[in-house]
Amino acid sequence: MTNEELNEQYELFVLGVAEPEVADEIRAKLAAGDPEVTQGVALARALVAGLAFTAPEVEPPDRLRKKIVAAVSQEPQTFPRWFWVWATATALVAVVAFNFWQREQRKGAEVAEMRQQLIAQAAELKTVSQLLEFLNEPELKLTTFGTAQPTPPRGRVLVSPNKGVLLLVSNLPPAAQGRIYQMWLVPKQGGPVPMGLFQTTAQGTALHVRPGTVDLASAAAIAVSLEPEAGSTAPTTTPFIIAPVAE
Amino acid sequence: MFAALEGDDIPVIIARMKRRDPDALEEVYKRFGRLVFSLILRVVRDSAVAEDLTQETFLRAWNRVQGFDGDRGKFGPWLLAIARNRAIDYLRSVDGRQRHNSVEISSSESPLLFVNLDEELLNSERGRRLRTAFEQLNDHQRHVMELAYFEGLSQSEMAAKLNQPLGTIKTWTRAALQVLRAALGENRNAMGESTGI
Repeated sequence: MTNEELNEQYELFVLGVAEPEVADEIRAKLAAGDPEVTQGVALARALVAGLAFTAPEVEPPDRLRKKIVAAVSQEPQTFPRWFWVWATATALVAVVAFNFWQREQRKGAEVAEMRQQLIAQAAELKTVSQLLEFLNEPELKLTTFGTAQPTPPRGRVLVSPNKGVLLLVSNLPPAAQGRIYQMWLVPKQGGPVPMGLFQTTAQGTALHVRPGTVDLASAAAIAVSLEPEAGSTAPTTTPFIIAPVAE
Repeated sequence: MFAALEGDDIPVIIARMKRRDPDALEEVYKRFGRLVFSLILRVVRDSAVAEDLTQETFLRAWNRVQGFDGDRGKFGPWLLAIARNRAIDYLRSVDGRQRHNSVEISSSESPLLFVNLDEELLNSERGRRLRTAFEQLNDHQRHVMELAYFEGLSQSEMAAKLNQPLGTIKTWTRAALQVLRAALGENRNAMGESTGI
């Protein structure tokens, strides 16, 4: 058909009542972008839309509006796309912030642990240094204890008149919570003199140094007892280590 | 006369419908409800059925609005196409008519067909002009247009129903369209010469 012949068919085509062969031809020309047919169909669509006005006007019952609105109001509300974008972004920021916080927490714990290790190493270094100083002392007195006992503890005591007392102990379990080991200098005359508090390691060893001067002539023994955590001015329990100071 | 329909705020209302705002559908109903109901009632001639089909029309638009271009599309014509299709489908189901062009009917309500149309496509003034022109058609011309628009009959089906030669039906149809096109100020060079019978 020519476009002139099709011109009479555009409205019928839009209404969906054109004969099949006519509809096919219009559809083909629309697909090919025929400007005349495209414009004709657009104008026909405008006319057909207006044909609704030729129906006698009737007011619908009000219940119809309520029914329609009620039907869609029962739907679960959905959020606009911007909301989901915002929510996703917020969640991502929260996850990143949480990870950052966790990493900082881990770093803080690692730093604290390293600081403790450094302190412990410094203490060990100091002890080794004191030990070397002790060993270099010309008037060093050495005694052992516990060798005759079937059970621990065992160890050695080094007494220097110029450097003080050094106690090496093994097989001594750590004191229970709230308790601590206390070293004593037991003189030949008078009561025991406090020589410092110490705790053993998980392996049951300890190296305790009490710097100072010691009068070897008046010293009878070095003793260790179990005391309250704050320490005591005099033994509150019977000393379980008594190492005589050799003359 | 029908109230003002398309307006500058239609794109905003469409956007709200896409966000599933029930108030937006109510606004659409306030504008188009009477026209849609009147059109459907004219086709099915049963008030209860018209109510059901009107509800179906608005819910169909609600469910398919995501595919509608709110900025370029013309909502009113799209809604009316849905309404007419629902009514014609109902009519055919009652009549037991199996139409060769049933696919054509349903595809005519695709939202994509209602973009870039005339800005003044569906306002009351155009409706008034078209209605006046429709009333000026002679009985034959008006009858074939009503059969096409309100009953969804092709020209060959009209010829059989009216017991008239197909050529006569085509002449009446061509004449009717010429009058209606003229009422809308269209000046198509290819328009036929016939003024109707």
